[in-house]
Amino acid sequence: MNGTGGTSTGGATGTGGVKATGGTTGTGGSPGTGGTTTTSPCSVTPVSPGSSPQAQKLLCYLYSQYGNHVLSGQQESNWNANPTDISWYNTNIGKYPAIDGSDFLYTNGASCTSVTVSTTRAIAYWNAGGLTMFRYHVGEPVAGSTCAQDCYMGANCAEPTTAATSSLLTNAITAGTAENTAWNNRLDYMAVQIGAMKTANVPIILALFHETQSNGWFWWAQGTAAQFVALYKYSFNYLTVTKGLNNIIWLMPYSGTPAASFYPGASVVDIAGGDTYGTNQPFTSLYSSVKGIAGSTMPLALHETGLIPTPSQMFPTAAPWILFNIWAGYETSNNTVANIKSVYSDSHLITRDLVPNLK
Amino acid sequence: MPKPAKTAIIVLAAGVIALSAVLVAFAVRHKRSVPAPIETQEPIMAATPPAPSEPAAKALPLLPPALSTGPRLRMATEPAAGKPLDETSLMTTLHDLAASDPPLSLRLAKEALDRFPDSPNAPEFNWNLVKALFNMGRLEEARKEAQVMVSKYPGNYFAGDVDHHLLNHPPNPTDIPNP
Repeated sequence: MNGTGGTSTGGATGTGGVKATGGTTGTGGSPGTGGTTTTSPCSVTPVSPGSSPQAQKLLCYLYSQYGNHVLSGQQESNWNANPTDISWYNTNIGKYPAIDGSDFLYTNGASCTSVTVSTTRAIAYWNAGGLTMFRYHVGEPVAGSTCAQDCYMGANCAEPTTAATSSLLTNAITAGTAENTAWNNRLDYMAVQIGAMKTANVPIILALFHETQSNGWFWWAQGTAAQFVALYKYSFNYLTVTKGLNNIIWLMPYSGTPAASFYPGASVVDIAGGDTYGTNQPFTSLYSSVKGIAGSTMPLALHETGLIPTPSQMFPTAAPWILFNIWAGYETSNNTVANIKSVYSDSHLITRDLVPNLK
Repeated sequence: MPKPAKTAIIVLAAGVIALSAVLVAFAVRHKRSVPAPIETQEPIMAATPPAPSEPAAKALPLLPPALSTGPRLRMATEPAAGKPLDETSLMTTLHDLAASDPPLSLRLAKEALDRFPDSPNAPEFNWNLVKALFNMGRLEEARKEAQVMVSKYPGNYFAGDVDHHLLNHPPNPTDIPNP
């Protein structure tokens, strides 16, 4: 974050907000009426230079809710052109999650310079009152590759062997190398998607280097911590300065074993988080680990989980995640309708209908 | 006071000081050699390599000649006169290695599982074994190990991690017939 101060006040769901439910201790009841479309200013601003008004409002909103509410999220099965993960909630739970989780990995037939179905869906979700969060299981930027060759895991990919990863991590951010051209191509592809959202005034929570940890599953976390931090900062500068994208909320997305050495610093991170496929929800130790790195004021996200956490066990101090995001398909394979219904009726939970107008 | 007497007093005082210093040094040394209480001995004993007859104390197999001379390998597997690493050191070494040397990580993880199969750290050692196979591109072996791990440690974080990443992860775009 930029600026000073901790948890801000005057957030969007406080009294007088668009869909106020009683301020910080809201009941999670039905949307309020008669609100305005403005969000109170707060003491934090996004790290993206010249951040958009919507990004500012979103970050202020996250700060205002941190510690007292949790935003619900669901990852979509973006490999399908018409994923049903989100609509499943409306059918079975009667409410939509606040956050539509997506992945830039799947172009669904679009070119690397075209707006994808996932981006279009994200814009539509924002227009329907929700929020969007993207990650990118980006393939290794081997020489000559583009987003069309993204292949992030498997026997037919250039990865996952780590033998050549170290030099690749260096070359990816070294001007004049073929790997740098390939990495810039990936960033350009992302810029097309995020740019479309910027044009539509949609802020995006971006978990770019998904599941970062030492010895991580993906190439960006298989070198040294210094290499990762350099790659992160290069990408941050490319997207924000070179491409002028100011609608990004930068989420530093740790995996289950966060390492401080991989933290790129508060100057390029708006919120941080961890993810887990454990069963010991609300994942207090993971929360504490991330908090130990990112600090006690920055909102922390459970940006990917197999099991839905129980808000009554999260608050007030055990693990007050600002959001959770159930992985694609896991809403049915790892959770029960009864359990999700129970969580969705908790007064701490923010569903799409309770997200204020941040436009 | 006559000068000789004054000198004698000074010499005597210096002698007393020197003797005191010797006595203090002896006392300190003696104190250090006193056996520590039982509770502080335990970790030291745990770090001592178990007797060869113990089934859980199988030594690391001999390294191939080409590898056995590597300084880092020697440090990792032979920390003190050929003694095998204790459990904590094995875990630390695996953490330090990260993805830098998957073959060595594989060997160490196997050794750890052989020697400490019932340790609370066993799932994490197993994770390192699976991850080393993955990092070496031995994906099918990694997946088989992951399946074993999932059934062996149900509900464990590390089992859930390999289950998700190797057995239930989204497809590559190139694997989708008609995207």
